[in-house]
Amino acid sequence: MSPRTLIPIDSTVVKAVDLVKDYGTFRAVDGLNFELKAGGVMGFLGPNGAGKSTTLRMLVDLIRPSRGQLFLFGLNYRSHRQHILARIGCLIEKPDFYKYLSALQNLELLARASGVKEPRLRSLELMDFVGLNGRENDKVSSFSHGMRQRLGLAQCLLHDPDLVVLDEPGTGLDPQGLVDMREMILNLNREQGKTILLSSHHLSEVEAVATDLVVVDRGRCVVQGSAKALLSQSERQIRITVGRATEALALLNAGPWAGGGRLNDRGELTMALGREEVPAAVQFLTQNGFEVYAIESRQKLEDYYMNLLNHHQTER
Amino acid sequence: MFGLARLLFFGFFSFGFISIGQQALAQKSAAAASASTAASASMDAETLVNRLVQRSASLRDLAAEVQVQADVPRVKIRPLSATMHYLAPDRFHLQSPRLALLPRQNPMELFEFLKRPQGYRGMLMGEDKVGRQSAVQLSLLPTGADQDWQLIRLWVQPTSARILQAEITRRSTGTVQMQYFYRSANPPTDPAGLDLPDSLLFEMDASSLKLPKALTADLHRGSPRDAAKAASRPLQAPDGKARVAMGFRWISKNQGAAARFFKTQKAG
Amino acid sequence: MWWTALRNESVKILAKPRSYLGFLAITLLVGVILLALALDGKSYIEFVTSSLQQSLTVEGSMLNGYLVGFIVLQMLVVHLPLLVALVTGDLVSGEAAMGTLRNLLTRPLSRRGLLLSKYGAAAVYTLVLLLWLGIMAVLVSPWIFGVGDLAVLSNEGLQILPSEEVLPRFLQAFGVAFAALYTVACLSVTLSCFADNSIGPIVGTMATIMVFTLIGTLDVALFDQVRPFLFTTHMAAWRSLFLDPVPWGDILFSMVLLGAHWVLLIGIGLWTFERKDILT
Repeated sequence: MSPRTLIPIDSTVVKAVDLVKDYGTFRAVDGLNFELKAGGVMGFLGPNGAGKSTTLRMLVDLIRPSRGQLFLFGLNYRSHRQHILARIGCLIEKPDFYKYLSALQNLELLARASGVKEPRLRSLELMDFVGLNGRENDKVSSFSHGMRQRLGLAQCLLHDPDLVVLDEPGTGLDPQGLVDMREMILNLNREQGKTILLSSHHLSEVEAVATDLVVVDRGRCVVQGSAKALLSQSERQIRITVGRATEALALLNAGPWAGGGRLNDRGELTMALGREEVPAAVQFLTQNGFEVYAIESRQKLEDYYMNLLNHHQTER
Repeated sequence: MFGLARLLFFGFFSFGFISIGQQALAQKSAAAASASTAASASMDAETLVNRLVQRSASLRDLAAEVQVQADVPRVKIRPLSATMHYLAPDRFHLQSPRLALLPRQNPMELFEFLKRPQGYRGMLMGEDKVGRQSAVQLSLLPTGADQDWQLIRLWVQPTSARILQAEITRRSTGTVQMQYFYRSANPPTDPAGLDLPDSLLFEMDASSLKLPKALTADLHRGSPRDAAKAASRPLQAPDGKARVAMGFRWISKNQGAAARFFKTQKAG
Repeated sequence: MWWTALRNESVKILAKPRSYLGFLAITLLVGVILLALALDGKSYIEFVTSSLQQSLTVEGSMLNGYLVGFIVLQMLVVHLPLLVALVTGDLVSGEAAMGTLRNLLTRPLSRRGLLLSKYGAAAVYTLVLLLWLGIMAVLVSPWIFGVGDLAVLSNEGLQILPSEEVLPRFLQAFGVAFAALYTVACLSVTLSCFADNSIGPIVGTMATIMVFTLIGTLDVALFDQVRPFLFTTHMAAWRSLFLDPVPWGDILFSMVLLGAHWVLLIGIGLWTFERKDILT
């Protein structure tokens, strides 16, 4: 039986059950549970040290869980390692290649290791897909970080996997590169029907492509669900660009909107407000001598994520 | 001393051309044919030396197929066949694709020494036996003070002046004993005719021979102690002797073969 | 799939500049030895046979290509472990350090298969390095110095082997030397499984060889029981092929012991690698 026929297309591709990973006395992943359905793009989010990379490494069998169970395509690594890996392509952490080989040689080598029938042809095809045609025979050592990221994406597609695990694929990319990467991910998902698990600190990029979200913190799953549902059920965030933001926040916290505002990392004031409350809040600020430069009323993943983590960390 | 060596040698070595056993038999019959001890008694050293000089004088050019077998303690070397060239007075070459272990002196050196009676003084030391053969013992004392040669003792068949045994002591090489074996029972009737041995057995002291320690230690075989012991062990046989036997089949005697060979070699 | 992995490993070794260091080093070292022997080989022979030559003389040239080849082998087999470890110690840990191990281990190939292909590649590299040494020692030396009987010194003394027997003995000696060197390769690949940088396994391999050699050479009775079972004791077992008669029992013991080391080291490597968390 071919590995690809083992699991129906709409079934659960990834299922983590009480996943635990200990490094000595340090628990990196602490009873993590999540699921990824076939055909989705899952944004896998969390702050540094949340256990994202450890989890992704467990997903591709680079790390063995200390406890818990992990099912990919309904199978576990203990008995079906090769079957599973034949259906997963991954780019973990950063794209590393043999610097003394050319880009094409690197891909060919990995294609052979993946059991690809025509490694050269497939490698050339993917170099074209990631926009590296013409650079096939250049040594990887001469590649920029962005080019290596593209090559990294190409290598994980060599064996035409069903699940693509991407860990920070946008790191080091310039704006055009980020846009290209986003388009390639969307293409893989929408055109080629691949399930994608995407971990990234570029929340706007995740927001643009993710259909599902999992947020982890300190090794635990904080929230999981459809991106659309999660973002719509949360309170709308109003982002106000205001002079003397710290003083403005103090004033608001002392007044009618106490506890509703915070400063984001760009020094902007963000508040959870209903649509009808916006004029009153602006008036309150201007009456108290603050200059309001801009008001943005849109729920963004970044705001959602920051709020979520703030709440989670406060609760703990 | 020679008797024991002769026995050991007979027991272990035989040559393609003439076996030591055959030679022993030949010498036995030679003994029967040899003159009585009375004959030797009447002979003086000068006469005997003169006869030896007469026999050696014609030696100029020799070529022979030779078989060499060395029995040197802690040295393993297989017997080999080679071609020997000798051109008087001192050119000796063993032509062989193989390595050969030979005595430092060439086998014809004694004859060359005998050719020059002005360089030594002969003294008869009495009668002796070599195997079953009667012999007279002749000591030759080199007269030149700076000579390497120190003492030559010869055991010679008195009537035929055939050398049966020799012991040569030299500053450079120490003492070497040589035994001469002949296929024919009798030497050439011509007193000036060459009487060359068909086999020669060299015997020398090997008790002081050693091999460099550092090069011999095989640590993979046995403990370092064993290796060190083995390496520092002198090259010593039970009787402390090294022996080299040479069997000859004479190809050419004084016919210029060696001269031609050395000429070609020089030209080459 | 194993063959594909072996091919991949071979491609990598071939493309890696450091793989050629060994060949370069051997060529240079052999060149130096050949030059030294060409200029002063006779003194060397005289030194070795000086005692013997007090009363005996060696007819024919002891300093021939076979002897030079033997000397080259004897001198360089000491250095080969470092050259082997330089490449084989890097096979796993180098990839871990580079991050490429992640790429390989997420391919549909068993970890066991991948590691075995690395042990296989280590064998190929060791063999090719040894072949190169063989070419330099047994082909180039005779080409320069000519051929002849081989005079070998051992614990037993001086042995002179007929030239027609020398080449087959060299071939067999290379087989035994390979067994010894491959043990070094296995050790460095195994150590490589424990490390995430290539320096550790290389230094570790050399340190192990040094410690074992020290134990082997120290004249302490306590070590007498251990010594026969250390692989370093059998590193020079190839020399036994030049004894007459060949001590086949000793050689068989060496081969069995070295083979046991392979099995043990590969076993440890597989056990470790199967359980290794790839954190780099």
